[in-house]
Amino acid sequence: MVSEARISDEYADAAVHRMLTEDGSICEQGIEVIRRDSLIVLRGQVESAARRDAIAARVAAEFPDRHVQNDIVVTTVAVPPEPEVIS
Amino acid sequence: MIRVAAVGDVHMDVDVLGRYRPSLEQLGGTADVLLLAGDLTRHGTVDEAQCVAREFGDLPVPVIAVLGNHDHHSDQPREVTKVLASAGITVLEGDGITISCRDAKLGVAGVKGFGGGFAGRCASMFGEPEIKDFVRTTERSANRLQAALLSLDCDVLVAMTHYAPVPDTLCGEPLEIYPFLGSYLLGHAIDAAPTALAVHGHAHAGVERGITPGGVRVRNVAHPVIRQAYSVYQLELPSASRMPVSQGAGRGIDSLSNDV
Ligand SMILES: [Fe+2]
Ligand SMILES: [Fe+2]
Repeated sequence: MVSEARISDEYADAAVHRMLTEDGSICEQGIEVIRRDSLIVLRGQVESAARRDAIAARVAAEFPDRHVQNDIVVTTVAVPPEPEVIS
Repeated sequence: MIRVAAVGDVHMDVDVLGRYRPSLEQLGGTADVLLLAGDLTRHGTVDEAQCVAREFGDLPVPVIAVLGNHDHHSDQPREVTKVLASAGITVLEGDGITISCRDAKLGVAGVKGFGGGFAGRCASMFGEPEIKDFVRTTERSANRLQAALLSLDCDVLVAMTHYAPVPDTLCGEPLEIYPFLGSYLLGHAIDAAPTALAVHGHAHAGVERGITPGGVRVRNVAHPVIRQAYSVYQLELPSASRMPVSQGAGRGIDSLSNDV
């Protein structure tokens, strides 16, 4: 989907962004993909470690010569400490 | 007072089944109702809806939901709604419900909503049919929300959408995608009724707190924003008793009003 020849293109950014949403195994809309000289940084929040790792694997497959730094975090599900009073 | 718990964008599938459950089971002591602000599934399949039903069904408080754009992805919103309803989850789309909470009555009206953008930077009903359809979809949704809000006879009124009614809670999202995240028309509908609180989801990179031009508090409860199983909002009862209600608006109160 994203050829290596176009790696510096804005088109590559667009293609990765759409792939993360439209690929049925990923389906994430809010992942930030930041390209630096030799690496790609991923940021955002997902519901499970498996989803986080699947995104990184998918992006790594598109950019085989880049290191993918996976800064995506899994959103926590704790009980809120206290209510917000709205008066 | 009425305590409203809310979360959106839980994006359930089998891989996260059971994750919310320990926190949800404590809801009885801390909230009177749980609102689910859309994007309950990843792809809007019946299987994923069944995960939502297992995770959010059979809780100590009533559960009320709207669907999100993800819940429409498989073009099966009716089937998804049916699965949720069979688990006792009330799904609102242009209608409302009232719930008796101890000595007060809570009204919740909901729609998924749609995009279009915000005042001064929004799409208009002009040009190609596709653009007109886009704007018409949002207008229709906002009108249904307004009618549902005005139809409810209650002490405290809450509006729930998936798309954002104000730009405040989108702060952190790229400006370029605001028109895909919400519409001022939803805010206008919320301001047309005596709404005490508006909750929405969809904007994963936004912020929790905002306010409509009319002064209604807006809370973005998308899970990546609140970063906890749910947020709880404690709403004080207005000193005057029951709010004035306009007659005959919407289909909400007749078809769905059921004291829980
Ligand atoms: Fe979402
Ligand atoms: Fe969404």
